[in-house]
Amino acid sequence: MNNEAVLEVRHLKKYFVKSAGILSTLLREQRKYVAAVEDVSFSINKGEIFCVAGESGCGKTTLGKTILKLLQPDDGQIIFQGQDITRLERDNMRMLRPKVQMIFQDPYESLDPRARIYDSIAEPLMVNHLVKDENEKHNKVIQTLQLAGLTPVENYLYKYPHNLSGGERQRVGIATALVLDPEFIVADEPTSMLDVSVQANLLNLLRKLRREKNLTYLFITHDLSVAYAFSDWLAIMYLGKFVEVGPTAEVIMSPIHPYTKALISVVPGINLSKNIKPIVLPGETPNPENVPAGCRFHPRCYCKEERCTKEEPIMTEFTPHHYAACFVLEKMKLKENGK
Amino acid sequence: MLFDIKDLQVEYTVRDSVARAVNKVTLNLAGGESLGLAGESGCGKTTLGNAILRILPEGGQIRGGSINLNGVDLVKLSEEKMRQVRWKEISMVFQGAMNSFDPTMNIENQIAEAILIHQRDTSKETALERARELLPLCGINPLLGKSYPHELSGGMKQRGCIAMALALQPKLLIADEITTALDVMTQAQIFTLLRDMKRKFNLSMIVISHDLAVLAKNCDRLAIMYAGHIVEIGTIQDIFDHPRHPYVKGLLFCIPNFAGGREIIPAIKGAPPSLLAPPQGCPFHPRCPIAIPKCKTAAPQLLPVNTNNHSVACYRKDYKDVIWK
Repeated sequence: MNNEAVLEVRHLKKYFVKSAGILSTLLREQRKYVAAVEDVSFSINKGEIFCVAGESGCGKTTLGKTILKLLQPDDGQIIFQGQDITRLERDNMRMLRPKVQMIFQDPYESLDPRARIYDSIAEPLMVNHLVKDENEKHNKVIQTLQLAGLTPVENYLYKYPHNLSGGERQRVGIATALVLDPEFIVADEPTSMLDVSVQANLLNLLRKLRREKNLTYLFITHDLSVAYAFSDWLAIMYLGKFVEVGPTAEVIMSPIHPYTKALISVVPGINLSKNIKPIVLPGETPNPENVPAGCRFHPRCYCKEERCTKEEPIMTEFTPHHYAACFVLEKMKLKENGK
Repeated sequence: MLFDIKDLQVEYTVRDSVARAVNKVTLNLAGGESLGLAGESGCGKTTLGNAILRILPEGGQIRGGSINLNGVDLVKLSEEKMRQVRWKEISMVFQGAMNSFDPTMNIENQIAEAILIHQRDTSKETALERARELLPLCGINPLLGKSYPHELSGGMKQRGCIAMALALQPKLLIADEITTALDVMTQAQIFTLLRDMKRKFNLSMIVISHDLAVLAKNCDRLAIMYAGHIVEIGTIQDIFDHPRHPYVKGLLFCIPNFAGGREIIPAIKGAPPSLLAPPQGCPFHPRCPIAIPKCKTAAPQLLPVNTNNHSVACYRKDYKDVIWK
């Protein structure tokens, strides 16, 4: 595997302005901001699958959209294939668009109901002026359909989305992303609305495409078991921040952060003999408008200390390439090393 | 036996055609037992749940069979009698129920209203009192009783729905995809609550979900549906350790899990059949790699394979070799 970083994200931040009422606008009260992505850094090498997992509202989708510049980042850097694209203007970004594509969550909403499958897939080619004539366009669409596993193609070309099942629609969604021969794909919960047998087929397709086209993925999911089966790297996100990053198998099998541990323990695994005792966290994820002081996880943490309520821990490398942000475990590690 | 369904058939009439959503379903449930009902979308699991309470949407009708609750056949009851069974004997928490609260009414009033509707001789005060008792039982701070639905999180609203469903101490609770829209942590909280309730009130439960792993952790027995049929039913151990139906074997392969290798095995190809034009014979035969000619002509019966109530509807249930790879 070559070690060329396709994407590098440094200290990325994305804030949303909390919509203010008319009164506070008149009184010129200071605007309130909600941090959806707070200081996130990572890099993805060519041909790798980097997975971001977390509960709803943790900022994982915002992260994906910000990286693709569908949302404008507020701070930090996004470097794609060595080029800083953070401040790239719309026109220059357009040159880059074909290389970076997104697969959306909802196959029922993301396709134009009035466009035939052929037109949906051909549209990106036209927009980007990538084909010279009808013949070339036709060939490219057919090739892409085959690649996405929609065969025999004649059965799909002139159908409308409502003629297709959920799994088939998602394959069309993948095809519209693939038609431009992208190098990097952000897949935002691409299988969460599908049945398990369909999900398995789709994940397998995405893997096959990586093998054949050396694609790089940022895969966003709430499902840790899917992340485990599918990705090379796994980041666990909580309230806008990464709390743990590492090689997927290591994060799942020997998690460090208390949040990761709890999350893994409640994923209903189907192996009954090896029952991990579930750590059911009390309460709910805090509102991102009011992020707790200190470690943002401390109000729900089962091994917190005094220090956690005041200072915010930073990412520390525990084992090679495996990082987590936690004081308590850091101390335990120091103790172990001291012995 | 508390509850017992025999040869239940439910059909939907869609324009001129008929879709048989529940086909000759037979199952039973003891007091205090929880049965998981699993299957992919469109397999008829929600229809089965709705049929038990006789709240099928328009066009849906029970076409045969019986639903016995303590010896009373619910299919034969008058609508008035059935109304007395709902909520008092059997209640239900629906998929997306948390979004079905009246936005203009606070939680404790809504729970009280449910009590008043189904138990007309109760006074408003008694009902409210009962509602306030239920809240902490379901893990809701009683102070939140005055909150309106928009002030509560999804998990809290779902707890409210459970409180409402348990208001009249039913014997059977049907939970239809109650955690599908919730995060894993909230899901774990909700199921911990349901398990507590089951123990405390000796409640029987039918838990409907597409997620086999959730059911494995939270139920005693499991029934797998495919295209309106129950194809396999048994204890969790029987189904997960010794599955006999090729569909169930394939389904277990498809679920990514921490214990298995880090592989995704897209076992079952294709899609379930349309219920408007189901295949002849076994509904699974077009996708089954070990189908024999007999499978194409006559649907197999659900027959026991051991003394432990493990039953399978498959002619090839004794096939030992690897089917999926």
